[in-house]
Amino acid sequence: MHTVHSGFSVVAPLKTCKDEKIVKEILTGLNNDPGNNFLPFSKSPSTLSASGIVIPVQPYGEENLPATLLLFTSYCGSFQNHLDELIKIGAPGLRQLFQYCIDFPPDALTCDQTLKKYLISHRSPDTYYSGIQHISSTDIKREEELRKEISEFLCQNQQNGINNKHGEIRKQIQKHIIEKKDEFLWAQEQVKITFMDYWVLFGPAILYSFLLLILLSGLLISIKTNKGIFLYLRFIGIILLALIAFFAIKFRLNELDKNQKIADQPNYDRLRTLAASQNHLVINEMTAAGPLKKGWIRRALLRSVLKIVSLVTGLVNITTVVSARWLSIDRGKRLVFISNYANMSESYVRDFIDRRSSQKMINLLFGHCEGYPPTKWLLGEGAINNLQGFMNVVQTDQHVAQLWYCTYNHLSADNIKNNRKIRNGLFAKLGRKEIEKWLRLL
Amino acid sequence: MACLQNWDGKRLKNGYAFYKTKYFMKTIDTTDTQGLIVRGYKELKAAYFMLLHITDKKEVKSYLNSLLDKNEITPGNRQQINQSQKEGGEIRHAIQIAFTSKGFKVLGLADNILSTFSREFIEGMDETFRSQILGDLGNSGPENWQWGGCNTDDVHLMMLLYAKTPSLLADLVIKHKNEFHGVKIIKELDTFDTPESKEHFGFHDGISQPPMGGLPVSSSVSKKYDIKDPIKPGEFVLGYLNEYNQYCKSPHVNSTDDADNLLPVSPENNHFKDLGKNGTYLIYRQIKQDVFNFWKYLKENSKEPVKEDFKKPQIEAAIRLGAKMVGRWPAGATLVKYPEYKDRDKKADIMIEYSKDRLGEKCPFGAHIRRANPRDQLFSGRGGDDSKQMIRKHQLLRRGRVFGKPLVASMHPEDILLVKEDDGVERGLHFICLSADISRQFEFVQNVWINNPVFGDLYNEVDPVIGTRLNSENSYNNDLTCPANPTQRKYKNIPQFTQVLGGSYFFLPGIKALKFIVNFGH
Repeated sequence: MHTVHSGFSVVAPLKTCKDEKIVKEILTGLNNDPGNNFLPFSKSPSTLSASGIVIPVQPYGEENLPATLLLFTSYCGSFQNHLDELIKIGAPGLRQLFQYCIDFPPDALTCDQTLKKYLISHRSPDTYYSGIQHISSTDIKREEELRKEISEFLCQNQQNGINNKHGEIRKQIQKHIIEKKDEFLWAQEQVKITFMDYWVLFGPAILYSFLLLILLSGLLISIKTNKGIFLYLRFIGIILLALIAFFAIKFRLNELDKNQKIADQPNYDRLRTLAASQNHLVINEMTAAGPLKKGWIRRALLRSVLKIVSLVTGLVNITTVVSARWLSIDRGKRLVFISNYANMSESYVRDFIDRRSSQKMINLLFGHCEGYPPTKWLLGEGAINNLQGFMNVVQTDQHVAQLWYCTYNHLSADNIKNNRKIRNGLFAKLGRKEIEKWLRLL
Repeated sequence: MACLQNWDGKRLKNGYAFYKTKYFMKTIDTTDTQGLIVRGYKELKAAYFMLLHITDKKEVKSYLNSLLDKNEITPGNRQQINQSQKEGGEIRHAIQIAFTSKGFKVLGLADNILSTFSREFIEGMDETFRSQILGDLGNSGPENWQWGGCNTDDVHLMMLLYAKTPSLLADLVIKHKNEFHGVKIIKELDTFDTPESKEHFGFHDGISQPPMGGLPVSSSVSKKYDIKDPIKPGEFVLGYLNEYNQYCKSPHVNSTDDADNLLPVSPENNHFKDLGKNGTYLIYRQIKQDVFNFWKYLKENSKEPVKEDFKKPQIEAAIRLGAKMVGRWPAGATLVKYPEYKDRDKKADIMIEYSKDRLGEKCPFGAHIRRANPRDQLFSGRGGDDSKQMIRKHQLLRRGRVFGKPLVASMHPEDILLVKEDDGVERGLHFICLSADISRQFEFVQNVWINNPVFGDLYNEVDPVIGTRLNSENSYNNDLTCPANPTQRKYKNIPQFTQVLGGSYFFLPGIKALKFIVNFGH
């Protein structure tokens, strides 16, 4: 059992356009009544957050990409466990939603196993980032309660004049929490990250890096060696270089295509609707879905980029983002981005573009979207030179999710991490300096 | 919106093309900007703001035309200022004019032109969603405003009058009231010249202004701050490159609409004329300050837990806590540089490095100045460069004035603390600031820094001085955490010390643009 966070993304095109309205209404109904008996995410301990949205028909050249139901969850631990939980608590709601989708088997209306198979078959691979790894929704809630309890205790005692020795203060806090054993017995146990946790999070990146290293070493050796396998490797190396050069030229020509227009600013009514949906105090949700620029090279490159990024997300820390994911759907013709982040969407988007260090990453991940300002060799120009053009694409592709559930909507990623440190340090063996440091967390 | 497609599509290319032409000027054309962009008229101690509702647009246009003809709208360039507004080479009085979007509409500006202004300006400060962003809730909600709100007459334009002396100002006010026909006065807002540039809580205000580039080196602003890398002028004035090396969205008109050739060609699309050039958005909020209860709270809640601190006079403890809330001592010195009470009278300092106070033990993370301008403290752990880059894109030129008689004439906290009862006088701040992008600058600061309950990894806090405690979920964010050794000091249930009495977004046009607007449709 591990505690790594992952994304479960179900992508299911609707049978007909007429169904769009019905499914949206179902999602809205579920959203407005979180205690419903159909799909109550709050009863699934493995679920950290969930979103449901119907994205409309969108043109991709001559083709119309279908109206599609997207159901996303962020979960902690094993996928099997999460899926079982979802079926257990929300099979009626899931049936209600997915019965309007293509390929939904009639048996799934009555059989949980068929429903499960259906959801698995419609699971889309995603590039998932979590700013708060190794913590369950239960722990998020109770660790916040623990922090509040300690803070309240300190507050009351500071009125009376608390002892000014670090160790003594901590002992008083420990005593207070032990006395409240019914509420905080769990807090006496520290959370340890296991080898399995690390392996699930970083294992694929380590394996891929290792394989890449072997391949590169082999290629380097093959330059000077004419024997056996190295001869083949040299041949492979030449083909690889030729392919890279071909893809690079093909991509650059695509970038230079003058027919690709930059997105207009959406009208003010639309902007107002989008802005009004970002009305949560701390954490908000953003879903953007839009077609890519034309050309197979775009689709291929985006998929490769998403694959590579998915390997390194465990190493990244973005303070304003609690979770984010990218999906390439409709055979790579449409990119979906969804995020739970601190503050309103316009500020959130600007947060990245305001810093040089993340500008290139924005181009890398979003530069393939239709209407995005032209990039130069994938990383240059684009949003860096045309902020408004970038904002226009985001706002054009942004959609208001009809269903949103979040267990941590009053806490930022840093708040959650801080709470974990408080819990882990409360009863841990700490030296004088460490106690001082721990007290600063409160 | 078809025009915008070209607008954005040719943004960069044309921008560079113009860079090589005479159009591109590194220096702001101060002969065309209204003077408020260049200076806050500090030497003109008396000021008076008239909020007006247009009842007869012809009369208004005629009067504005007469002001323009007589060169009475004070420009930024001192040499260009009308002789009647000068005395011995110094400015004697100044007149500035700003409009709301409703004002432009009543004046007859066409819808297709009006729609090129920013969305925030068009929608206005009292729009429902905007109230959430700005924290205009509860008593500060637009439904309770004295002006500019949903239950008051529309404000169309504002006349800002500045003069060297109160008597000179009085003459000026009478003159314009008598001569300006076709308007109804919605509100007359007086100002008060406080000692030592203090705001009503007793703290030295207006210390740290962003250094704006594009002004002559001899300008007092550039001199005072000795800044090697000033903020690009496009952050504060439309028609110039901003910190992204791009132009902020600027209102524009079709070239054919500008028959008199008053306006410059748009830097981004030569089919348009730039109506925004040398103009900017003016954000105005009248904020009431509850001075008596501010110091009452500080007095009652500033006892320190450590035994020896009990011996310290209550006044000292209250001033310490007040300084923690503001981030400066009343005289202006920052806590980061001068954390000790004995240094409280040191001069105001501008260059603050929060990296020297990473734990927030000198200046709390939630202190007013740390929220209003976080400088190098954002994105902790990555050095200050990312933070500094970001901060440059969220700056405001502040041009505020104080209103109402002080609770105590000296405005010294030591004296304010001796007051036993509130005098009931309405006092506060005319918060006025200028920015080229209302959303990216003013609303961002208000939403992401001032009223953000989790700013700086805090919990349940907003700016302790000006932040709105009531939030959009009808609960309260009213704590303040002061990191300390061995444990932090937490202040809870901090009351609301400020209330918004009214507010509006205005546009402060360039002088040529004003001529165009006044004569549009003739």
